[in-house]
Amino acid sequence: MQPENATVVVVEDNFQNFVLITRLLAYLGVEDCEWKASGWQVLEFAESLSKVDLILMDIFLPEADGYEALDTLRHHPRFEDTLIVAVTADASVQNMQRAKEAGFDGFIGKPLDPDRFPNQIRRVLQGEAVWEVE
Amino acid sequence: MISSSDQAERSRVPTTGMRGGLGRTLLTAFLVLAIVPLSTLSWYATHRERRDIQREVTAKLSSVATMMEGQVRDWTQARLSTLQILASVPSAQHDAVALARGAERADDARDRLHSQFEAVLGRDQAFRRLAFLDVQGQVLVSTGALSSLSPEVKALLEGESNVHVTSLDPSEEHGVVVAQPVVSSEDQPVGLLVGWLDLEVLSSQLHAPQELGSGGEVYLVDSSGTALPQGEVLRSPGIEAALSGEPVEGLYQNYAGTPVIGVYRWIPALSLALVAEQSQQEALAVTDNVTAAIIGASLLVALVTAIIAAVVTRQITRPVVQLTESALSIAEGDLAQQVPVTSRDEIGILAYVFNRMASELKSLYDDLEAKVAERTAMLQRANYQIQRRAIQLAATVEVSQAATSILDPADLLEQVVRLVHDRFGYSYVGVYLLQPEAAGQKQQLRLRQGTGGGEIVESVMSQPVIMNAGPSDEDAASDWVGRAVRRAMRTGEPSVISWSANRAEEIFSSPYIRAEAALPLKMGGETIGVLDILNTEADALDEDAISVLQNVANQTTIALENARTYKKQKETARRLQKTEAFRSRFLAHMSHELREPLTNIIGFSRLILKGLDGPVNDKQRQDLQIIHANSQHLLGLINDLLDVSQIEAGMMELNVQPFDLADVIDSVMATTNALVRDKDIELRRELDDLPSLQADVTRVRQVLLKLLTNAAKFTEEGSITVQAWSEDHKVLVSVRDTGRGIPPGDQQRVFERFEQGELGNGSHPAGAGLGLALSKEFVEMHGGDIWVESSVGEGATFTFSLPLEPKPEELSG
Repeated sequence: MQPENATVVVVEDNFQNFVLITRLLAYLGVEDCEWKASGWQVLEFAESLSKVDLILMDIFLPEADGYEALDTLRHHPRFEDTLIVAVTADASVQNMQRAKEAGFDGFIGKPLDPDRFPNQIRRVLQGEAVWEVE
Repeated sequence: MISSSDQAERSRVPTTGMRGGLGRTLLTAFLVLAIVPLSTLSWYATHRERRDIQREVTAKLSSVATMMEGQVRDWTQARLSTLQILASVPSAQHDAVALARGAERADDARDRLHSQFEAVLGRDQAFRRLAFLDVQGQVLVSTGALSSLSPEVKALLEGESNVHVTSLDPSEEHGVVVAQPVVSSEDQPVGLLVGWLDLEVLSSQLHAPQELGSGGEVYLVDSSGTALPQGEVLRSPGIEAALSGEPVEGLYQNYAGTPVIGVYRWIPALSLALVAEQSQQEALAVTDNVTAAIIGASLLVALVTAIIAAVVTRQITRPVVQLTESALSIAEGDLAQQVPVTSRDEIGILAYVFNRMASELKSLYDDLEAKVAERTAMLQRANYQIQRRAIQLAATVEVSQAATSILDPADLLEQVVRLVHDRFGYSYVGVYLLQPEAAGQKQQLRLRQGTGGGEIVESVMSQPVIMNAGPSDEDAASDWVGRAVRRAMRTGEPSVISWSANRAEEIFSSPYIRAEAALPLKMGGETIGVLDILNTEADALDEDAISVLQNVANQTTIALENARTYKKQKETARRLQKTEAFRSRFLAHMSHELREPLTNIIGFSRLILKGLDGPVNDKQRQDLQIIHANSQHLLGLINDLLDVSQIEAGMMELNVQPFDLADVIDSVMATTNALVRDKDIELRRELDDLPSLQADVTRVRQVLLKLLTNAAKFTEEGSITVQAWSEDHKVLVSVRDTGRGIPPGDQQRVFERFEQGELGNGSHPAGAGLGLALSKEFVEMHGGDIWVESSVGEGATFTFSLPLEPKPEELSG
């Protein structure tokens, strides 16, 4: 999939992070970028979203954490096959492993490297597995 | 009832039955001493008397015998004389001669002679018959018929003697004959005149004289044993002896069997024995009287002696018996015995000594009894004390058990107070503890736990005890309550006070409380409180009890301190736990909260630098680069600090799992690529076939990243080579750069915290110098090692080793 056509939802409690991600995604070419502060919001607005190609999910969230959110989303028919990638500051090999086991489709550790991040997303959209702690 | 054993016991004790022993012995001795000599004497006297009398009788008999012998001889001689006269009468002589010659007128002569004979016979009754014999023995003239030559005539004719005794049998006519030769005028023997003597006449001569008494007897015995006047053959030792010619005397039984004293003579001229006898009975009749008198006298003397002896014995033995009885009484246990001292002799001394001994014995015995009573009391007391001590020790053990098992101070005090009250049996037991000092207040002790006593005692004891400032007013008369407690508190020594009944009444409204003991609860040199005890007996709070109680107090103090410490420790532990939890939360929070703004700073500065927000001029770029670099430095610092604090807090735990080291190396090298893209550096990768490794992959990645980052940082050009190989159950990874190297002096220091090498220009590289120290920490936590080989100008090689499987004990680091 080309970034230009992709619809990306960023689940992130920190708005500034979302802004940074949006800017980097825009640099990549992604035009459709939605911001949700929690997994619940994603579910809440699931019906209103035309399509979702990629969800970048922060793990360290208020309320339910990323794993719970993933679990909930996976049970929704709308997101069964949606790419969901963990983006977290809790970047360790163990967490990456855990994310893999939980059913995430990729793992990108924070802090995001603006030099690499656009490329990482491009690879994800192209169907590559991206599991990078740093 | 007296049991048999009592009787047996009694039978062994000498009784008064023995008391006669000494008296009897003495009496017997006395009697023997009196009677034996007396008897001997009387026997001797009697014997002498008998002998004298016997001798006297013998002498008498002897004289009688001599006299009788004379009589018999005279009588016989007289007959012979008669015959001589007849023979000498001339007419008779003439007639005889004529007859003998056978002359005429012989018949006349015969007649004349016969008449002559008759005349003689008429004159002398002693002649029984007369005869004239010729020398041949022919009877010429005879009065009475006469056979020729009778044996006696023959004996006369043949013998020299003119007396011949044939037999003394009175019936025998020819018993005794006397003969007178007749001679002629020419002195020619013509014949023999023979006269037969009448024995009866002789026997009439043999009358025993008067002095011999009725038992006296004199008789003649011829050789055949015929006696005269008895006229029969008699046998007796006297006769035998007489006939044998022994002129002896003696005692014997006569022919009739009567014991006699006899004297006997042999009359050779007559061939007769003369025996004079007197019956012993008669002779010794006097002796018997004397003997009776002597015996009587002896008996009398013996009786008198016996009486005297009895009296004397009694005199002697009475004090001894008294002594004996007293001794027996003493033996039976009556020690109050005294014997009257009546004499000054040995017995008196003995009695005196006995009395002294008895009184001494009594005093000793009394003393002994007193001592025994005292000892018994002492033993009872000791026994009671031992029992009480045993109970107290048991209580002490219980207290120490309580002390070790009860951790709540209030529970502990309740238990101690209850145990001391119940087990020691005191009236009231309480524990006072020193109150924490408050400003402007005097030190005071408050009752924490108390038990026993009545309501009033409890209310009195529950008042706080206020310590006075100085010792001067301690004993103020009114201040009785708490006095012992104050004293114990002040001195740190047990304090015991005895109460009078009045005082007790005054203080406790009870006259029974008599003593109070206050035992300090001492910890080190500090007194933290007082164990206070009230009791009705002062004795139960003696020195021993106080020492036991002090022991209890000490244990209570220790237990109290333990309980307090335990409580404090529990609080500390809880606080620590809380702190730990907080620290852990803080760390987690910080890692998020500190890093997130930084990531944004880094992210946005990089965004601008990349020109995503429009063109950036050179000055702006420089500034932004400084912002970016410093932000990254700060982020690294924060990361390292978080790790360090995690290690310091002991919260760093390895998450060991198998992983592929090559993957990790690749991933890290990919990251490092970004660091060297502005330099002329080649990244090389030289990996052997690596076995699966068990380790915390995050930490291994961190170490590797740190080494690569350092290498990139200190290397301007050349290469950075990552090598990995396995040997000896280990995996080794080295990162070799071609930088300027590390001087040997710094090679160890680089692994210490906050140490770092200098860049060529003298400035410090980014980073707080924690990276290598952390790497060393992580490697060592795995049981591995890290070191550097370098020479200045020729780069450096950092190598670390990891065991294929970390040892279990090294996981805990």
